[in-house]
Amino acid sequence: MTILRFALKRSVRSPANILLLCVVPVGVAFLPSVEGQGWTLPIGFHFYGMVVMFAAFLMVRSIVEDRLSGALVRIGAAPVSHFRYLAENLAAYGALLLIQNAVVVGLGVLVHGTRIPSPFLLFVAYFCFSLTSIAFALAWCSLFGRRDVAYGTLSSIIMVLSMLGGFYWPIAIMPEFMRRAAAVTPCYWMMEAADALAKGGPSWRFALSLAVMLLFTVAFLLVGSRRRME
Amino acid sequence: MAVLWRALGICLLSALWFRGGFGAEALVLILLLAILAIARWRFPRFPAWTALVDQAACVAFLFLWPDAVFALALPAFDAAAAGAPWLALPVLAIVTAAGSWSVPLAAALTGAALAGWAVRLWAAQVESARRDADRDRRDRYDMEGLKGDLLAANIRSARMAELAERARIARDLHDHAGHELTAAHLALQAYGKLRESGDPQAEEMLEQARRRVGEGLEVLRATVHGLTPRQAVGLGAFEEICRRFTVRPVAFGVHGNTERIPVHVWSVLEPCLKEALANGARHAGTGRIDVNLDVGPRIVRLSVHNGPRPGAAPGAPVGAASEGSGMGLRNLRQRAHAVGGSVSVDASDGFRLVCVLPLDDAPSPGEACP
Repeated sequence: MTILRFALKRSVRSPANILLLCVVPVGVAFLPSVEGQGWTLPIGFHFYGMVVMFAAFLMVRSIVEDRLSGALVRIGAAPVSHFRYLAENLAAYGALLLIQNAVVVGLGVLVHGTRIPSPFLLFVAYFCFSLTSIAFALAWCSLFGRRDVAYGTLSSIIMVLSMLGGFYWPIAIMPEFMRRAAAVTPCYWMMEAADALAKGGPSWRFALSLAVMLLFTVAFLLVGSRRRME
Repeated sequence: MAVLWRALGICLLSALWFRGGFGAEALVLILLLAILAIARWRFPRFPAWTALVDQAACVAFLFLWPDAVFALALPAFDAAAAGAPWLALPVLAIVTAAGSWSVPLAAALTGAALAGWAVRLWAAQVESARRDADRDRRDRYDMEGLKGDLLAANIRSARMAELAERARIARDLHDHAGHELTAAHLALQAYGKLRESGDPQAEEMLEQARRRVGEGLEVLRATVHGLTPRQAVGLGAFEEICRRFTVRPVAFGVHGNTERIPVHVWSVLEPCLKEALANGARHAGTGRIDVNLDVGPRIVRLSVHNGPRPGAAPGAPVGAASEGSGMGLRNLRQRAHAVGGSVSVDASDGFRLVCVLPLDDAPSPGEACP
């Protein structure tokens, strides 16, 4: 639990992390609703998906810093397995995003009322998406040996995925081929889950979206959990 | 290679999904197969029987997505790559039971099995080559260790030869010249006493002493003549090497007492000089080669410098051998290391070789550095 506690403290130490974990999510919860035009949730809850991805990215940076600074080598010399190090770090990030999701959905219910469909299930969907975002950031950073390249490309890819996945505009207004391309992004399935909740379709549609996000999480974790030593 | 093939398979399946019904169930199957493929890449000892899990997933999704039958190419590949072709038998049974045989499907399954078999052979060859490389590397380390031992034994035998030669010289001087000089000394003492007493035998004693001294000198001359080597050694050998090197003019300078340099150190310095002259002539400029031998209280330092080629950019390397990667320089480094010294090469400004070797004996007071 030492690593978990340290990861929690380290994640809330940086001003940028505090901004993305506390300030921005609260701000997006107060963004107004737009009726029609394909928006299934208040606009802020679409943007919130991107906030989650950036928050996951900022938190995963500490693992990258550990790799680059040699802390991972020192940890390797300690009686702590790499699995435990990774699991406790990811659990810390997941716990922080869990709280953030609960706060944002709670605020959404207070601000937007019935415009937030099935708050608990929406919270579950956002939590699944948070796990996917953490795993995605971890996998992406493990592909690059240089910190600046990894951070620069990840920021860009988050923006692209957000646009493609329906965080900036409703998926329904996108052309068919773009919707097909969007379906290979976790963002699409987050919005698909929200859409299933908003439109009240069959429950398997919501469950399928969660399953796809969790499968993405497993795939990204397998890629990102390599013990890469720079 | 296996990773690339699996990635290609997943991409082709994704293309099928993209072109076809665009159903979520197909994406779930692709993600499942991708997870298994990543796990096989991530954990090299992933069990081969897990190819059955892939096949079970394909069967489960076959009813929802008919193109899932093409996904069976992935377990067919993995079964062949794992050297367990019987794991691919259910693939054939599934395709036959589903009645999905077609030319593209047969081509995909055959191609996958052949690719898996080729990957298996290739991996075995790579493993064999790696084992050979490891064995060669181990042999080379052993040989280098043996070479170091031989060099150390060479130094020890040189020291033993030096001590044995000293003992022989001492024995010769004692047995021959020593006896004559002792007899001459006694004759001179007798001459002194006889002369004081006015004895006529005094002159005879003086003559005897003179004869003994003459014989002693003759023995000394013969001993020295026997000790003088026919081949130039030490400083003489250095001067000889410089004199015989006619490719470039050589300026040879000596500082300090070279008599303090033991034989085994000369045996390292001489090949250093030869190698440096050869490298300088081959890779560096056309000017004079400066050779300096400095004998300090604790070390002896040999420096050989040749300027850069005319027109060469400052700092430009002058050749692979001069960078210190040549076999000759590597051997020199090992020999210098065996006597506790070092050889360094600088190719940034022409060619410069510096060899520093320790001297074992303590310095005499007059030779101490200021």
